[in-house]
Amino acid sequence: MKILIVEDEALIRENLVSSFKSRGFATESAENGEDGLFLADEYPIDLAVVDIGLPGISGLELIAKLRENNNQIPVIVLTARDSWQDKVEGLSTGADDYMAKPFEFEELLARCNALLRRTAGFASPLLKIADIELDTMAQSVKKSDKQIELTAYEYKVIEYLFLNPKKVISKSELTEHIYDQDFDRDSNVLEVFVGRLRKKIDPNQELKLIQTLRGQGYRLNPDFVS
Amino acid sequence: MKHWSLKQRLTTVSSIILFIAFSIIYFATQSAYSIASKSRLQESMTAQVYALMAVANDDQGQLFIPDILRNERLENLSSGLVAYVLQDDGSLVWQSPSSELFELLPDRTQIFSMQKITESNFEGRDMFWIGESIIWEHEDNQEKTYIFIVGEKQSILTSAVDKFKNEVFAWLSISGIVLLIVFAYALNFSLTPLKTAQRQIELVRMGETKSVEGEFPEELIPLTSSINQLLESEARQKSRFRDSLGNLAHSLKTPLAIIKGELERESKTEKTDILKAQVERIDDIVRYQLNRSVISSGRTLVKTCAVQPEVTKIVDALKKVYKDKGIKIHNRIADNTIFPGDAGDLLELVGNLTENACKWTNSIVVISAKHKEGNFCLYVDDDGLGIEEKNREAILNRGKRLDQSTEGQGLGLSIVMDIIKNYRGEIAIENSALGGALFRITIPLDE
Repeated sequence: MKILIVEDEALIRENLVSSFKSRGFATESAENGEDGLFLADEYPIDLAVVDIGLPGISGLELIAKLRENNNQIPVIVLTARDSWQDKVEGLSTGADDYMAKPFEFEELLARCNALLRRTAGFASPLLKIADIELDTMAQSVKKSDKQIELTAYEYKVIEYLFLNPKKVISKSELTEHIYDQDFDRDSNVLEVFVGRLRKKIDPNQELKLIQTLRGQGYRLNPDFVS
Repeated sequence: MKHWSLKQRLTTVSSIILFIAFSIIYFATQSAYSIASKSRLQESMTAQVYALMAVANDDQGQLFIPDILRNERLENLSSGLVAYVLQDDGSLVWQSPSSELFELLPDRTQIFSMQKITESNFEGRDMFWIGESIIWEHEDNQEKTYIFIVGEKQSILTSAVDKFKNEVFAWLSISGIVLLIVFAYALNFSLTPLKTAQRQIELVRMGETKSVEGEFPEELIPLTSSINQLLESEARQKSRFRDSLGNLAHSLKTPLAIIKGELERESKTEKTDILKAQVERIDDIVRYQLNRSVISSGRTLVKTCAVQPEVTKIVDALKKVYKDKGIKIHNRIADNTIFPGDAGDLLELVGNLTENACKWTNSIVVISAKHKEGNFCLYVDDDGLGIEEKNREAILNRGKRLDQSTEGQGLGLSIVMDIIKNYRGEIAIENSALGGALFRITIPLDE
């Protein structure tokens, strides 16, 4: 999952980037509205955290322009002002949630996860497909109630697949969503992750949960996706 | 009298003026007519006397009035016109056939003259009299004094005057009514700009327009443009105030956010806990003071706003934020409900109460509002656990938090309390029919 952070205050921005990274998110960041808009429109972003008080085009203008361009990525606004007039203004412009500064990162994270789940159509933080249960809060995976140990990247792959359950996901899309922009990408590495993931969640090859469509990419077995 | 409208005042004053003017005209014409009629009557009676004198003959030392002549009315019993010729000793020489109705003769001692009409009551009838004494020299050189008298009943004059009076009264009444109608139209026409201004100001007060619009006569322009300037400066001041508050908030909150972020990255110690608690304290104070300064100080020039659109804004916003919780937020505002104050204040009231309800409810939040007994009433119901009676007072006390795990209850509510205080309203917590808590706000519509 790739998160875009648009915040002009360097310390807060860096803090957010490193906090999100430590929780397994890929990030892009911008220090002003123009750059933020460019990144949001040009890169595969899953969610944006946008400060309202930005130099240049404001956070609200950024969101309005995103929606004008028909870009529907979920957006959480960070705002120093938290009167209802400001909140209503932000949410009616197209933001999906707001957080008043100063905020607790854990709460921001919980709201980000909730928004991502909501966008994927799940209501609870526990995503269950077949006998595999994914906890987006704890970032853990269970098979038939037994914990499976996954590496951070393996988790990112399965989470992205679970959050896009009805979609065929190309290797390049998967790469873009789990790696940062400046990361050296190699699609062979992705094949290795998927292979290891299959072994861990389906050691006996009974489920065949992750399918490969030749020349197109990966998808979850439609038999298990309602 | 104080509350009379301009239209009422002008109508009353002009009606009084019209009434006085028409009364004067009425009495003046009536009196002029009656004087003129009387003098005409006098002339015709004088002519009658001369006619009698002209036909009078000498008959062997006696005055004789022949049967020729004469005015037909003198022949007719009920004509009212009578004539007598008396000797100066009062004895009758001649009387007109019309006078036979009377038994007595006119009183000779009365002063009769041709210059002035004499009035008297003659056998129950009001009469005008005219007469002249003449000295007649008979053929036998004897001189005798005779009195020629002509009488006319007064009712002949009064009935003519009455008829005239009625005619004048009718015409004056008709012209009075026509004038009043014309005046009413003229008044409407002249007062139209005032009415337009009044309607515009009403619209501004209702919050439906931002300025007084339209073309006004030059007498009103200073007033309307002053109102517009006032509104503009109020709006400008409000937005400048909001902007500077926003900047202040930004510059205070950003360092707080940085401190908080950095503290979170530190491993948890007693020290970081203390620092975190202090940061939160500062944050609470800043938030409270900033939010408090956004709310108005109660009633302003723009006095009302429609409730429905503001509540819809809040409901749409909170539906987004609480989508996960699967709450149904119902907007049940009675049509045309107005809030007697600033829209920003209403947003704060509804926003804070509804967000609290969303936090505590199980599945449903209902916002309703209506006017009742001169008050604006707002109700926010939820189906959560409700609030025990003993805790209600504490909740309503500023800054008190019942449950530390759900933040913001105290802060939002204290803003609500401040607004209610500014509007001299009341707040109460009750049991909701839905099973949870009901927050009820009552604000008087008029001060």
